[in-house]
Amino acid sequence: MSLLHIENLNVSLKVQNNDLLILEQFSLRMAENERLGLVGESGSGKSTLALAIMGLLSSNMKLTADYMNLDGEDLMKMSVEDRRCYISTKASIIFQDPLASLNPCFKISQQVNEILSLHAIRGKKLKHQTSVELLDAVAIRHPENVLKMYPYQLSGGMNQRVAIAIAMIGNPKLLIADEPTTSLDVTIQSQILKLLFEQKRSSQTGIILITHDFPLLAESTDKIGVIYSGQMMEHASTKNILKHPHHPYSRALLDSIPRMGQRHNKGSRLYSLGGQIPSLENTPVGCRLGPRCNKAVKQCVKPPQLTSIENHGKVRCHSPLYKNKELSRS
Amino acid sequence: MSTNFYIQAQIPSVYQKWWLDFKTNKLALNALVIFITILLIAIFANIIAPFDPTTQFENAAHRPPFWYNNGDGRFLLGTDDLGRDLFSRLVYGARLSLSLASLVVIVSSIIGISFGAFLAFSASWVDTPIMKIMSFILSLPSLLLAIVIVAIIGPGLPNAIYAVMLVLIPHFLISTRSAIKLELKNEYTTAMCLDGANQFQLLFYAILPNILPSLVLQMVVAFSTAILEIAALGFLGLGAQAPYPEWGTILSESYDYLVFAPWSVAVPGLAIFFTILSINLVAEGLRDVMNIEKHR
Amino acid sequence: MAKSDVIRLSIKIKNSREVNSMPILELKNICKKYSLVTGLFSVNQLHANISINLSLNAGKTLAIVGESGSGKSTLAKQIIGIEKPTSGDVFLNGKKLDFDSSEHRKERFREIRMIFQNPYESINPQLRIGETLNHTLKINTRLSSLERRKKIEQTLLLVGLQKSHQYHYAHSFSGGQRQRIAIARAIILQPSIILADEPLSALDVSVQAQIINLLQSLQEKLGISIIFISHDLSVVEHIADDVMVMYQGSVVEEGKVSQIFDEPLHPYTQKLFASTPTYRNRFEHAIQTPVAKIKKVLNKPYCSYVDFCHYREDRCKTSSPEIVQTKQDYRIACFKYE
Repeated sequence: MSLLHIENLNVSLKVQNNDLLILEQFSLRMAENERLGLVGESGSGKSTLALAIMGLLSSNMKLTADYMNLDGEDLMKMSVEDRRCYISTKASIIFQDPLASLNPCFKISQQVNEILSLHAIRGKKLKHQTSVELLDAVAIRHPENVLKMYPYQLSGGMNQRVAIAIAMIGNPKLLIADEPTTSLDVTIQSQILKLLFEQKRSSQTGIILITHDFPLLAESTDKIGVIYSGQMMEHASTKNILKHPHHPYSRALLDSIPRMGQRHNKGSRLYSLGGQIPSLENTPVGCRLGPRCNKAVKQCVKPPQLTSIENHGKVRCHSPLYKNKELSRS
Repeated sequence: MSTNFYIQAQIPSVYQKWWLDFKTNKLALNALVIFITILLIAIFANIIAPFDPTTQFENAAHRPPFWYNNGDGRFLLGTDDLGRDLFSRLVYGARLSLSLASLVVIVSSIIGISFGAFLAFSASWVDTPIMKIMSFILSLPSLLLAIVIVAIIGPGLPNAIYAVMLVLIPHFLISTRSAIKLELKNEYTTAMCLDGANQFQLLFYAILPNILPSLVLQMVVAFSTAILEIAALGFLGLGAQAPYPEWGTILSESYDYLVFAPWSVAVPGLAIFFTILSINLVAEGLRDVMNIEKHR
Repeated sequence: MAKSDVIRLSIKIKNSREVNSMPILELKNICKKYSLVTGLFSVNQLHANISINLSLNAGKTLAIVGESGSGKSTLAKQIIGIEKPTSGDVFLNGKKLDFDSSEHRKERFREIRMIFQNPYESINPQLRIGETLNHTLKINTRLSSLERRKKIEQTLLLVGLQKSHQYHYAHSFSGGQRQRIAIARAIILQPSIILADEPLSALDVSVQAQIINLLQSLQEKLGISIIFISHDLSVVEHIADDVMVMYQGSVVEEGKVSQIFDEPLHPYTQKLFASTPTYRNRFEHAIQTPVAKIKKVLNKPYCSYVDFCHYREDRCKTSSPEIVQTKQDYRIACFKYE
């Protein structure tokens, strides 16, 4: 049974009598225990997707879907309160800025205890014991000391670990990490990612890792989804996408990353996709990538659908690529 | 050359954008129309008013407005206890109130903003004590403070003006200083420093365009506060003295006759009310319009 | 010939003169200390920069790599002239720069220009782009209004924008375009050095490539030297000629990009490589189990990396290694390689 099954999700934002579509016809299927990476640039709608799954969209956004199934239950058929209750038992989310997701006015112990109470763990002693175990599981040295501190006294990496520990309370089946390491130092980044994926191994949690940094996903994920301008452009296993990206946008993303070993040569240029992401008010007719795509054909004025390609995955393109593409791995 | 004109016309400047956004706010726009009407009445007072405000008409004391049975058609809004035409008094009162309030706002804003800018740029030790004094002054209700000042230096119109000016200066000083200090932290101000700008260039090129919205708003609000305070001081007998047709003074003179000449209290009261209401609604509209800019 | 050609020619002549002589920018023994008041009577000294030596040659790109706390931002501020070094000197074209002299300041602000990290905050939102650039020119040059307009339009075209963009306000531009505007503001005074402080961190991947290409083409066209501060190793490898790795206020390793990327020797540099997915495999060992923290002896110096280093010996706990030149164009601060 799939852990997450979304069919035809649309999220729109009401702005001055206009309805802007942030996510359009979004479909996704994720198995239990799967590690899924979602990559997209700013404005692609990936953070909105995370909020939509968690039921955290703001009130001026409207959500419609044919089907939104989390661990067997259809969320669209529930009332708002039931949905929220159900999601809180099944899924958790970690955000980009750890200082923003922890309350600066309360000690770490108080914040952890608050969530523990919500998951029916009561009693001062039990709470303390569980808190120490949780912090230990995220490789925090001296958890008793950390529990007595406030978030501003800890570094960004430590705060993010605390956020992960809190997210893992109740053993959620789905953990969404929305750019968890973007604001952290490079050396801490790798530690946090290692931690995230180790969590998954020990407790049967499916993970969605959202980022704009493609190389990050190369190592840690089973499948990758490429999002552009509110639509899923390609969804395939990591190995396949990195070796043969079928969608021109995936290919462009991979190409514009400086390759290892490509030293500073006078005149060498990186491949870059001209233009920029279309604004929400002016989405192109047909394929969203059309104006920027160097492989555009006449058909591209009609919007392409997400079609399956055998031995690969799903691609939304009228003329997908078939070339071999190696991402130089070290 | 012609293409340049065209493009410049296409992209509205910040101020043009404010006006375009302001126009969409019907309430604020109507309030602006009302205020401009009052302003025009004040400017053309001598043409609009049928009589001189101090002329007393015999046997015409306490006449009600013309739509009453015993009203006199000459006196549109009736007369006061000395037989003076209320309408003319109010019209000249508008001129008095608006001009005095403008004077007060202009002088106190110039003084307050200059000192605020000076304090923001200087890193001297005077900053802390002055700020403490200003904060203390701001914590007191301004009208009360004005009354105290007038009580000390004596009643009369000039003293009332000085008092209101003094009371308004700290507001401008503190907000200018805070706004400039905040701007100085911004990266684009640092960038301009790195362009080699001296303090004056920094102030006029980089900082002023950014603090102008809040300064303008404050001046508008101060304008309405000044009108109210001058009227209040006039009502208490501490400001404009008789026979000045200041609205507050008119109100206090008519107050004794509230029971049998209610119009002589209602009419000046309504004049004050509508003037201040229109200015405040315009200020609200401005605040909305300029905040939208800030969110970008 | 056109004025722009004259300028370009003079830059080429200037650069060819420099190639065989002194570096265009030199920092000698730069130290920066901040005093933090930690109690009623106690003051802590924060050593933001310890004895930094830097030299930048004309037309070359120097990359400064380091994480938060490494002191790279403080170093940038001292190069650009916002902060005064506690000790040490800055030499521009062989001339020692006096921090307090206003003449030196003007020259410095003209010759060394900065591109900031956040394109959304470094441009004044209340001014049109043309006005921002105009102010820069008005403050620093004596060009007439018409000449300024021409220069602005020329510069906008150089960075890949259009002439009509000068009438727009900053909010109509995307992050990548704003960074182009920031680059335009930097090059409009025709500086010899551009200091780019993490100019790509706030941008999307595909836009990063555009800006990298732009910087490289500008360097070739105008002969500008670039100091590029970044923590992204793959970008550094692509764009830099020389690399300087900083940790906790001092330089731990520096050399040509080929040397550093083929064979990074300092344990911290290895850790940086190990943390980046593209370069990981060779340095897996550097980020394995964390080592226990050492108890430090009061008032005795120690190597700043000693808490994390896998190769630490006894002398690393009691003295701090100096940076020494072990090869041509290569220096490292580590006892293991002395």
